[in-house]
Order: sequence, then structure tokens, then C-alpha cells
Amino acid sequence: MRPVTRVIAMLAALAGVGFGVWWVTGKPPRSDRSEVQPGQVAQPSGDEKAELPIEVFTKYSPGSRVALRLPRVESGIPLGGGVFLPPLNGVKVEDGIPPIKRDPRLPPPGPVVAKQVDLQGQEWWIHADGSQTSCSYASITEAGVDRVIVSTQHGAARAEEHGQLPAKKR
Amino acid sequence: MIEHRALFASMTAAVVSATFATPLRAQNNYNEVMRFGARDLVQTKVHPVTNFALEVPGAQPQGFMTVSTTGVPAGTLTWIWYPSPLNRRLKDRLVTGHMIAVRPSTATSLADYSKTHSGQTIAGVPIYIPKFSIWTPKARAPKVPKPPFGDGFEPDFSKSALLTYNTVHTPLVQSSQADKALLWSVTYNTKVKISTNEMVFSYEWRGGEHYNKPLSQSLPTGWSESVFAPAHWGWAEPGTGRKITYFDPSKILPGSGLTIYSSPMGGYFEDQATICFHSDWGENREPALAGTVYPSYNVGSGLADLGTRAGGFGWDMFTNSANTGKRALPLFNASITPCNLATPFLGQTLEIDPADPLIALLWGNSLADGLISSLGAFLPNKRISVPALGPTSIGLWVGLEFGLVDTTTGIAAGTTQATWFYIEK
Repeated sequence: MRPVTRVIAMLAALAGVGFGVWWVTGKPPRSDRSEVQPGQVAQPSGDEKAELPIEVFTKYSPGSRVALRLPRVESGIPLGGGVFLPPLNGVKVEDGIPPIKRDPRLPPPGPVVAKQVDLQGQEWWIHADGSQTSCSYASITEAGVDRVIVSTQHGAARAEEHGQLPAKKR
Repeated sequence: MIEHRALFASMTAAVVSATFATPLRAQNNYNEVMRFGARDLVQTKVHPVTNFALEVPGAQPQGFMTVSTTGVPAGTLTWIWYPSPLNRRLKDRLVTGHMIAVRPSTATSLADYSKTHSGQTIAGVPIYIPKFSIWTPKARAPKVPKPPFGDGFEPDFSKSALLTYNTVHTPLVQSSQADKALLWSVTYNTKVKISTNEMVFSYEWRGGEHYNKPLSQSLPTGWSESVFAPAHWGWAEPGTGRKITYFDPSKILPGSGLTIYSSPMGGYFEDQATICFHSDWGENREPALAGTVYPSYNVGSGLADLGTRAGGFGWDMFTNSANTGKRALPLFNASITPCNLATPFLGQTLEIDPADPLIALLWGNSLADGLISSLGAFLPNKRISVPALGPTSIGLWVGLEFGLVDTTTGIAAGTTQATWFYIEK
């Protein structure tokens, strides 16, 4: 007996009761216009960058946290829905910044409220919901060969912690 | 069966007659491949001496218990077997990132943390994204004691890792986020080729979740969308030997008041469309869990018990939002070997054999055949129930692959890799 026919009758018992979607989505908000006045540090060139608060470009010591608001930018770290954050840690947009990956049950991350530098000196955007976003050049070992890539890091509490949907049920 | 054949014939004709196209992609896709997890862990216990939080007491190897009772020594790998019979599409995997859930705890005082983190001006919980690696697997496990949830693969540490992405440091997370599960993701702007059919991935811990205090904290957490995962996982001890110990829920200390049977929630992303396969036969092998139906994406799915016991299986299918509205068309096979044919079909290279009369078996089944949502995913919310198939089914491989088909034009945009499981008993 062919293996296929051995199981045809048995597998015909497969039963289905419908499917559903357990993740929801929302429209990403735009980052708020900055209310922070630029400081005395020299501004980077470019019209877009000139609108950004000076804190975006200022190098702070590890462990620092600086409150700020960001205007909308047209390129940078993709948050989805055409929303971007300015790149951090010296990453250049033209090198290709990957988007954040986030539990789609969550609403998009809220506006940035602070720039924080971890103890190793990496810069992060802190969102109003407490989530964190950064991008950096990173060394990745692929089949024993080191390569430098651009990566984006994002951390957020799960949907239930945000008062969103209950856990997925089957 | 006649209905299936007729449906198959009509669908095939419709799809073949249409143009097959692959949409242009401006950048990588980040389709989840493995999402397994645990019950929601609640840290109700602390170590009597260190006062550090416990998450899975007793589940850790005895050697670890000796030195810390709670923590994971720095350099310890938590390894997880990716389901064996996946990705035989005869194309390289294209890995585009990874993820893990962790749970910082306020059971350790923030004052203590602040002493460790001199210079940090904001109180918070110090965590990090552990080093991520992908390994070539060693031989299947029957040669060694089977873990609680069936066979699997161990990482082969005698070979170089196929991919390594180093630890990512993070700021202290705000205290408002302590005792909450945090999902960390890392996305790459490149596609890392993984050519092996099988693979094992791992996370390497500096020492629990607390980067600067080895032995001070416990394991990563689950993610409650995946309520429970009888995953095939364990620890590899530090040092060159990398002694491996399987996670064994039977050794969890009773009466701890904790939610037991934990496994870390983690996974990685692929550029291609993916299937996250799950079943219940892994958890049904564990007497304490049989019939409890805690669904998740478990590694025990690779080896099924359907010959002797009824079971259920299901999947989530991920692609990108450009495929929203397309039909996730299930292509089904059963064979004495997992198919390695790489058959040209509908302009794509299918792993599933298009000549198999079972190919259309799941067409019209709402748990297997549906439209891709605005999230770029097809996410059935229940499993397909299967009765015990009898002894003649033992030794068969069962496979599933999805085609992504435009319902109005018949244009197919691609396929997922196939998922195969083996009916072991």
C-alpha cells in the first residue's frame, strides 16, 4: 500500500472550527514637535537636522538621561507607518537602518520623551510608554566570518502590561 | 478524496494559468519563525539569603543550584532546538534578526542595583539582550536520555557557530516596567545565510538577567500569548566542555508557589515567509500536563504520537503586509520521507510534492486555509484535531507548506518553507 493512501482516510478526519486573528494593529502616532530649544552646540548641516533639538546630536556620558521631544523626521529608524526616529550612535541613514520589530498587539511606540545612554555608552530613545529604541553598527559572525552590519534594537513590555488585549487563547 | 482532487485540479488550473510574480522588496522582512514560551511567570519567591527573585527554582541543573540556587552562571548558554524537520526548501535560511523575552524584577532592590551601576542617574532594572548564536545540530537524541518532551537536537559546540550576535546592553529599564515581561528584538539590515536544514539556537547569559551581578537573577521569561511551551531546551555550562543539561520539569521544586513548566520565549526572524508550527503531543507526553492544552510553539512537534494517540496541530503563518488579502493556500503531503524534491510549481520551488493527492486536503478548512491579515499573517486561533491514526501511520512524514495566492488574479507571490513532522509512535 502506498504511504499516501495509508493515511488518506485517517487524515480525512481533520476537523476545523474556524480561525481568527489575535493580533490587532493601530495607527502609528507622529512624534511630537520639539519644545526643547537648541543649545549652543554647533548644529549639523541639513534642513531636517537643523530642526532637531541639540540633544539629538550631543554626546552624553554613560548613564545620562536627557528629557527631550522630537519633531517628525523623514528618515532614520523606521517605526512603521512612515514614522522615523533620528539615528543614534553615529549610524548613517544611507547604510540602511532596519525597522523595529514589536509585538503587533502593541500600539506603535509613543513619542520619544528622553535620550538615554547606557553604561556602555550606547544611546537610546526612550518612549512615553517606557519602550526603548536604538540602532548601532554591530559585528555579526556569519559562518566564522565577522561582518559589520546595522541593527536596530527595541524593547517593550507585552501587550497585557499596556492594558491591551488579553493573552492569545486557542 | 474525489472532492479534494477536483478542488486541487481546479485550483491548480487557475493558478497555473496566471502570471506568477514575486513582489519587489525594498528591504528585509522580519517574519517570526519560532515563538515558544511559558506560562506567565510571577516571581513570588525570593532566595532566602540573597533575596534575589526566583523564577524556575529547581528546574536548573544541579550544578547551577550548588553555586547560586537561583542564578545562571555567567557564560551559560540556554540552547533551544529548532524543530528538526523544518526548512528543507533547499534554499538557505535568511536570518534577519532575533528576539527574546526577559523579566526584570523588583524583588531585587533597586538600591542594590544603583550601587552596581555607578554613574547611572535613573533608578531602574539592569537587563541586557543576551548573546545570540545559531549552531549546527548534533545527532538526534535517542542515543541520550530523552528529554521530557521528546527527541531533539543539541548544539554541536565542536563546530563554529553559524551566526553570532553579541550581547546588547540596554539602559536600566524604568522601575514601572519591573516585574513585567519585556520583549526585546534585534533586527539586522542584512540577511544571514544559514544553509543547514536543522539548527539550534542559543542565548548566552552574563549571569542571569543582571549583567553586572552574576548569579543574582534568574531566567528569561515566558510570553503569555504563548501560554506554555514544552520546548526542547536546556543549558550548556560554561567552559570548553559545555556540558549540556536538559530542562526537566519533573525536578522543579514542588510547592514553590510558582507557575512551573517554564521555558524561555525566544525566536528569530527570516526574510522569507514562515510557519510557526505547534502541536499538543509534546505536552501530552508529560503526564502532569496531558490534556491541559496549553498551546504554544513547541519543539516536541517534530515527533508526533499520532499513530497511537489523538492530537492536534496548528500554525501561524507570517509574511509581510504587502501580501495582505492574499490566500494562504495550504499544500499538504504525507510521505515515507520528508520531501526533498524542490519541485518547480506555480513558478516557485515547492518542497511539498505537488503530485501528492493529499496536497489539497486542507483546502477550505478554516484552520488551515484563509486570508492574510493586515498584519501580514494568517493566524488561526485553534488547532486541527486529529484522531489516533493507527499503526499504519507510524513512520510517515507529514508536511505542510503555504502558497501565497492572490485571490482575484491568481498571481502567487511566494511560498513558505515546509513544515514536516514524523509520526514516531
